[in-house]
Amino acid sequence: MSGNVDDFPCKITAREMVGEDILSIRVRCPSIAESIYPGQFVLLRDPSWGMDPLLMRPFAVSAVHGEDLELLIKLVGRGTSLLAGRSVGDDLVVRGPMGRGFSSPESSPIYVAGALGAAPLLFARQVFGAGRFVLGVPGEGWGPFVDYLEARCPEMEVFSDDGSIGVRGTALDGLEKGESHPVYACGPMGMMAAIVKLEPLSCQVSLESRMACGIGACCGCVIETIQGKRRVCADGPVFNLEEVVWNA
Amino acid sequence: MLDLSVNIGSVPLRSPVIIASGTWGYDESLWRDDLLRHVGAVCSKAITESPKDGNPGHRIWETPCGLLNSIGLQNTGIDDFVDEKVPKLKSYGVPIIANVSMEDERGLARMVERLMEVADCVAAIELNVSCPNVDKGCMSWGVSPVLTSQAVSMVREVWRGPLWVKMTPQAPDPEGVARAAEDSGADALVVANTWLGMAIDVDGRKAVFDRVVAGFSGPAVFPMALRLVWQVSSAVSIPVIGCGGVSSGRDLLAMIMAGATAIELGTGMFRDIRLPENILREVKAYMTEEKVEELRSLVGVAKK
Ligand SMILES: Cc1cc2nc3c(=O)[nH]c(=O)nc-3n(C[C@H](O)[C@H](O)[C@H](O)COP(=O)(O)OP(=O)(O)OC[C@H]3O[C@@H](n4cnc5c(N)ncnc54)[C@H](O)[C@@H]3O)c2cc1C
Ligand SMILES: Cc1cc2nc3c(=O)[nH]c(=O)nc-3n(C[C@H](O)[C@H](O)[C@H](O)COP(=O)(O)O)c2cc1C
Ligand code: FES
Repeated sequence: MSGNVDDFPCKITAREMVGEDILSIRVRCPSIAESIYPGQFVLLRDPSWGMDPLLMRPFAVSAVHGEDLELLIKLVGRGTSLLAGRSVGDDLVVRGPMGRGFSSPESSPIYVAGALGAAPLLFARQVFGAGRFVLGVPGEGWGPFVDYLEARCPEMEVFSDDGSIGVRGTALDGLEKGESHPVYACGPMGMMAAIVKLEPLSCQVSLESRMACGIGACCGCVIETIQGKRRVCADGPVFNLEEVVWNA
Repeated sequence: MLDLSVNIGSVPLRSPVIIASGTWGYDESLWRDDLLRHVGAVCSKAITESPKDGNPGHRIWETPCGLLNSIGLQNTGIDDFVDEKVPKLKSYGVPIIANVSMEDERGLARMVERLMEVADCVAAIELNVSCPNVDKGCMSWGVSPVLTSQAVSMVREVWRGPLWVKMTPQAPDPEGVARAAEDSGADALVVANTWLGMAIDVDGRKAVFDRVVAGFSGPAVFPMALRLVWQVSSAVSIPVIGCGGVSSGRDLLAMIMAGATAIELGTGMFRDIRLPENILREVKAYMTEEKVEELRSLVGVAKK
């Protein structure tokens, strides 16, 4: 783990729903904003939760704007739905910066995102510079999310499973076999596992796992790698594609 | 001047707040003075004789106000602890409690022998006879007074330093286990570890954890842990360290009033990395308000 992780009381400075169940929020957190690196993440808790939900929730940072962190949050359960009910000016507790991010590319990278996997890649693009950005979404209902991303990243190449947005297909249809540009990928496990078959020269993937502490203490978030079990929160979330045991 | 220091037998602690085993990492970035200044000691993650990979499948599951875990004692083994971890940890100036996880007798003896090499850097051994998340040994020792006594005696033969025993709440006769540990040479009792629980993934129609059962912790278990502290501290004369669901200054005070000399914080650390500092602030405010100068004067007051 790098940097000095800490819990900071922060305020929400902006919020917008980007589609029915995706929230974009900004939180003012100067010390994380100045030190966070692409691929690192934060944990969030709302003081109004009390003890339930008990644990903080992990999210990628999708951009840094001055002292603000921007996050893109899909509402999937209790914690994220409660977060969606908060307003500008409300308090949150933010822990970070967490984990190891993407290493800086030697040549222009290709960003490959599955749905919300776009979040850490947008921040990588902000820091490492524009390159090809390939996004895959399920289709129906994802229009506002895609519009939101395209406003930030005009070169985005969009695929959807049902063909209703962009080209029919998945993000991987945007990749060549044996791709020589460094690939940075984040999305569902199945998508990332499938990249192996495309044999890119180099690829870093950002993974997710259920987390309790986020600081590398509990070993609750481990994944299987060729070096044995590793912690997503502290040894990752970014791993080299070939390190990960995909069928575990 | 408020005095929050306590003595666990011969071990003096500047603060009654100890970080429980398995809830603090070894990463250097966590051992900063601003985070640990308010902590009396830090327990190591469970140490086993050989390195352990831990359990496959889901390892954590949140419940209302609680947490189920099935980590399975993942750790790098006693040799790595003694050769690599201890030299680093000792430079941080926070007392280290070595949580030694009991699987079998030979393994236990070898671990304690290796710990003797770094005895001056280890403030106490916390003998863990209470982990519910492994098939072999551990909790099966802690549920029986006879086996607990056997384990404690074995450590005592080699280890002259402070020895704490971390009890399991699954013991049918906790007072019996506590007395057996005391009689066999334990210097303190940690009451307790996680409670057996389970979860069903209703969508998937199956048990969440590969081992089905898991250890339950967090604020939801506090009243049960408090009751055990009350019971056990009435049965023995060695210090009791309360552990289970503590997440506020008032929880700490309740544990002390029920008979604990100090407390261990586990799950609470996950949601507030500065919990020791925040707890002590609340305790100091109480002591000022109530004109209590020494925290230790409150030990067991609720029973008097
Ligand atoms: C490093 C990291 C970065 C992440 N970045 C983002 C992000 O940028 N945007 C975003 O929307 N989400 C992100 N997630 C996932 C996010 O943390 C979970 O969706 C969130 O914690 C769910 O909280 P909840 O209380 O709403 O769900 P719960 O009520 O706890 O669970 C509801 C459902 O969410 C799923 N879920 C719970 N925790 C996770 C998890 N850690 N990962 C995946 N699914 C989970 C469960 O399978 C469950 O079905 C990230 C996760 C990690 C580990
Ligand atoms: C993720 C996790 C890992 C744990 N690992 C250990 C361990 O290695 N050894 C041990 O003795 N107890 C372990 N425990 C138990 C805690 O140290 C503590 O006794 C228990 O969680 C009750 O306290 P709490 O409610 O404050 O968490 C673990 C608990 C959790 C939640
Ligand atoms: S979440 Fe605790 S080690 Fe990763």
